[in-house]
Amino acid sequence: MNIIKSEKISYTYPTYQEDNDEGKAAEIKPALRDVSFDVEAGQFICILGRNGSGKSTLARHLNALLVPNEGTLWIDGMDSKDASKLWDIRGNVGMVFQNPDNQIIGSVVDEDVAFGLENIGVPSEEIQRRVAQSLENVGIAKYAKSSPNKLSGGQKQRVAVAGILAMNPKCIVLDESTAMLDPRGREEVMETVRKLNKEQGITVITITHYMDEALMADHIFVMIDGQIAMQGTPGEVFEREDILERAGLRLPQICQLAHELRKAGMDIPKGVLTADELKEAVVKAVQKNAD
Amino acid sequence: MQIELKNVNFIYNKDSAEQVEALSDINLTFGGDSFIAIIGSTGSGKSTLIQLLNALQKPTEGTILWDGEDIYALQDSKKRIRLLRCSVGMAFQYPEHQFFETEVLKDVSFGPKNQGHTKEESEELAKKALAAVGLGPEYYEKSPFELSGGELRRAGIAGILAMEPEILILDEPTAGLDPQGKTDILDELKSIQQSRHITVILVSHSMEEVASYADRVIVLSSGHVIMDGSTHEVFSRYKELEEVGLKAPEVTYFMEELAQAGIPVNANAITIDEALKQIIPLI
Repeated sequence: MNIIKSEKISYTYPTYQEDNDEGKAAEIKPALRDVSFDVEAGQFICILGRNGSGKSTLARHLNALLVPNEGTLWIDGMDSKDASKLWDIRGNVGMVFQNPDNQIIGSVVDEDVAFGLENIGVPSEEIQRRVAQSLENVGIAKYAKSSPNKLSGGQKQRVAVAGILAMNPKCIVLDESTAMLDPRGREEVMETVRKLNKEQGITVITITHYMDEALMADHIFVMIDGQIAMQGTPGEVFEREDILERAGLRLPQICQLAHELRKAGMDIPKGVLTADELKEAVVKAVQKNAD
Repeated sequence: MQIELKNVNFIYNKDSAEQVEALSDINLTFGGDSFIAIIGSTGSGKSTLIQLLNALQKPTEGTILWDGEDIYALQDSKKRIRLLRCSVGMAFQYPEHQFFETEVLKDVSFGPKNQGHTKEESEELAKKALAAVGLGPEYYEKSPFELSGGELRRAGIAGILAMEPEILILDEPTAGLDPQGKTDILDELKSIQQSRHITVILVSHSMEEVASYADRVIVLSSGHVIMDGSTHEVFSRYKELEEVGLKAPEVTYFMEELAQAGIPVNANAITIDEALKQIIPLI
């Protein structure tokens, strides 16, 4: 079943620019152009692309922070333009942003996680149960009574994820949520969402500039100039150097090494993504050479 | 020029209930023709350390020597600190948030003008700085709103560069940029460092970046310097790095695994090029 279905959506940011000297309004480039795609429930999707390619604009459509100027976006069967469904949509699709310090409002961790539930009038016993469960799921339970400013960046982002989880969402969108974190913080956040995806079947959509994070995804969308230029599995996408080049992307280190070794004449099969796969291929090639 | 920290401690909110020791017993020397990276997990003291270097923070204990002179003990200390801030330029995280002029060239000229250069001199310095970060004359009259994320970041860095610092400090200059944008900025910084023979100090969370560009790495953990050495030395101790929330580049782990599988390579490769140099001769 598709949790998200996008039918040729386009979006242009409203501008209030004055007319220029020639008396014509400056031409404004649409941020999204005729974008169509499907996301199946339970998938792990990664969106890659340059700054300004439309990734965040697309993400903001997924919980109806923005609605398309043209085309239709269906979220769990609801049209995102249907204002009467707005809160159902936002309860279904939670969003984690880039800066951990901009999205925590409570002065105690568990109060912060409870905020969304209090807002929609959930009974307090139910709130306590759901908050405890959510904190457990992101591995922050022991900090339930701490002040958020005592936490590391990775921990704060996991608190943000817990706040979303408490709402029982079907989908979580992470818009560069690891960009400001140290290596351990990044791993913590990615491991947490991977677990939620695998164990609870929550659909995960991440936007990132870290290519190694894209390797975790079932499916990658590559955006160029407001359009999805390519989609496919990590194995498919990281073989397409032409598209990656146009999209300003790089290969993850292991893929890059595999690629260079193949260019140097080593027998490395296509589609190698992990260190284990590459190790096996290199060992085989070196042994064959020795025989 | 050289900045030396001797037995420096820094404590936030000293003598209050909220007292936090951010740095303890720091002994470091910065200067010369070098590209230095400072790494450490969140809260390890990186930001406090760089703020001490251009006197935005004063050490709670210990001394800071500028070419051998204690900057806080001099008669004309205030004046000297002003001069120090010109010689030690600091690009904070998201320098583009500090734009306030309507046009790029005006904004970048602001620093040198403030240093006492004439309008013409300032614009000359600004143009040179913009060229160094890859922004040509077509950008001079653009509004900051017309620039992409990467261009804005570079214009922000140019604003610091225009003051011709001898030490240039950058706090996560590539955070949030796409891979192409990251490479562009780092290549430009490396070439600025080498052509101007200045010291670049980079704070970064990307081990791959640090491995490719730095020649010296300082590792902070809980306010202490736990390593200070060549990039290869530091990453060869990746087990210790892991204990403090850091790691080596992906390729280093891969080489370690290859070695364990009986392939005659060693794990001291920290970049793709170095790994290739070891593997290719085997075939």
